[in-house]
Amino acid sequence: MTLAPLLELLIFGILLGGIYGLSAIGLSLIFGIARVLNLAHGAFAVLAAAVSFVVIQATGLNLLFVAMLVVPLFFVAGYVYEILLIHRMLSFNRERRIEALILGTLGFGLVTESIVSIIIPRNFGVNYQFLPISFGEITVSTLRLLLLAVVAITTVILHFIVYKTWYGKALRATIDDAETAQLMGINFDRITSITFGLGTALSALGGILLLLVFNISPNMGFPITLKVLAIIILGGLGSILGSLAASIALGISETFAGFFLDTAWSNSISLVVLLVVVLIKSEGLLRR
Amino acid sequence: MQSSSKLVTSVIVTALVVSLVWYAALPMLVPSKTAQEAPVTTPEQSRVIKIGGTLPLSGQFSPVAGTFNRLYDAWATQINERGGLYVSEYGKRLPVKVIVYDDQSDATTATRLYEKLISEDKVDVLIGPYSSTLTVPLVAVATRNSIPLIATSAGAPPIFNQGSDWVFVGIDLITNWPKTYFDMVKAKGQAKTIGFVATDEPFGQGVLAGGKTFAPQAGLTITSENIVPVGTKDFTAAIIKLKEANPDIVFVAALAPDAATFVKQAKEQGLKPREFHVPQLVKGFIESVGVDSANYITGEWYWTDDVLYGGVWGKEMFMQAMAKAGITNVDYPWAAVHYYGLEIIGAAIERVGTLDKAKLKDGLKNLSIPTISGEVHFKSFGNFKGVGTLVPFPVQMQNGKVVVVWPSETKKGDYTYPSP
Repeated sequence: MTLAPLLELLIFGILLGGIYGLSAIGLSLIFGIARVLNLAHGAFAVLAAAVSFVVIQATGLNLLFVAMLVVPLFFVAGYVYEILLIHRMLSFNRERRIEALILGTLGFGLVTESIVSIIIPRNFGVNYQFLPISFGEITVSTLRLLLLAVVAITTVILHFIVYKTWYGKALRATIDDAETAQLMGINFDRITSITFGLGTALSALGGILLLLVFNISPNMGFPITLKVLAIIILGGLGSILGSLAASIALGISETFAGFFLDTAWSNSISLVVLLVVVLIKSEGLLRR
Repeated sequence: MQSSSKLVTSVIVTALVVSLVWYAALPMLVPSKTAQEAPVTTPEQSRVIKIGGTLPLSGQFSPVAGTFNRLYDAWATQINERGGLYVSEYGKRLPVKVIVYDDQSDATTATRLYEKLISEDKVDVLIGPYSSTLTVPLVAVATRNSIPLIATSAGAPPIFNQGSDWVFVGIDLITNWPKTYFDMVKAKGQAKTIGFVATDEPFGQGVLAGGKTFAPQAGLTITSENIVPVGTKDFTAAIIKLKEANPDIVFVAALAPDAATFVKQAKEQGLKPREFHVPQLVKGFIESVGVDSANYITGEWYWTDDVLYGGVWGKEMFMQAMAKAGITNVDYPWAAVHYYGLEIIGAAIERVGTLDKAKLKDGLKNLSIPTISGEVHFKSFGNFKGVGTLVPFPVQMQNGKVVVVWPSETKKGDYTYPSP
């Protein structure tokens, strides 16, 4: 075997990981602030992809333009979702809270997927023809490079928000010690709602990017959540860069497993990672 | 932090358990939809011939076959306008009624609904669902209940390996599906190598087995073989293997949704064979990859209006039923295969002259029935007695249209190889 396929595997693994990264960062932030495992996270990605697909089909608008409309919409959706559903469940006592959050978020996710499957009862995707770029014997997808650029820009913006704004300071303080942060005057409820909005918007952007490279099936939401869960466990809960690094590690693992073992392994490697990390080092390999 | 870690672990484990239980229970919670209300039991003097089946009115197969209930209804109307089907046992024509449920493209749901058609609707004969995947478990259902099942888009070996006297399929074994395509490739004589991508479900595996048999006979060397799970979202590993093998033809033995995902990603990642071959070159596939990307991809269709055969009631009647149903062959090329099912059922009832299920089954074994794609008779495959003889025609997408390119007496365009 020549070096070219190995390099291509590495590059495509990084690009695939980058696509997972946005959703992973979103869920990581949500968990970091509210200690809520939002099992509807992947369903928001599928819903955003479906909404974008329907808008594109109906209007012929460019995906980039549609994303600029849909992502803020999902920020609002996440914000409202937190107030109407999560916030109420967080007020339950500890034992009921865990059950309610699992069943509530899972149920919301499955209902959302069912609605998507009624609206679009098939796999769906959009097509933009980008000729791949060749570097000697290595050929790389221009489309995925562009997506990685979007992920990189979004991560830089997120980094700025988290480390250079008042909201970011409040967010980090709350993640570190919620009680002390509240004593210092930080409105925990408001920060939580905003973070749900931000995390949901990131999941929506991730779903829209997936629309470009995969054909989305309406029932993909929960598998996405599981994959993202493996990433944030690996990357450390609440860590942006940890989540991104773990996404890329998982993307590379998937492509190499598919090449050297079997494509079936590439689909299940995330679950293997999740189980192994939970059993060996439940605080995550790349703790913040 | 320690308590937080325990909380995370317990939440994850509970979530996984709840999810598994939820998914296991989901099929039982999903209500079925009916195309028509279940009929009231009729007395013998007003006997209605009841034909029952399911179709993917929703779910992943709905873009391919989700409109065929309208074709069945149009056919039933045509037959009833003629007075029905003549049944000598009753000495008169009897009206037909087709009962169709939505199987949601799901095998478990389909199996449950076929049990309902037999036990509650008490249909006389079953017409099969779309796809081998959904048909496989129905062989046991039909055999156990001693009722003829005329399968439609189903020719995978797992159907026939079960052995049955009660199941009949118009089309040949799925392993013979690509035979005419490889006849064409051999006649052209330019391609030398081929690489396969196949999904691990009955259709993909059946076509792959056929391809591996016929490709060497056409002078092709197999340079790569990749089996992938049905529903695979990222084909990068298989694509890089195929790039390395660099075959002239990349043959995608998969149902349309998976084939579309593969071709979309293969083009995006720079896999450039001289030809892509996709057995299900259907509307859903073409829409998914885009018309431009689909250009010069080859595939197979069972019927076009260039085919000269008249069938049981004439080619015109089929075309009128399609028009009445609002279905075009270009958009739904498997409609003809489902129509074979109606032709076989109609011809069998009229020729055997009874609605007795055992007699119908015995009569079918010896019949030769004219269909819109030629004569079909039934041959044995092990203990399975009802394998049909119809095979599809090779087609190619040319300038945005699907054109029959083989054999010479039927083709409307020349096979273009390599793809421009």
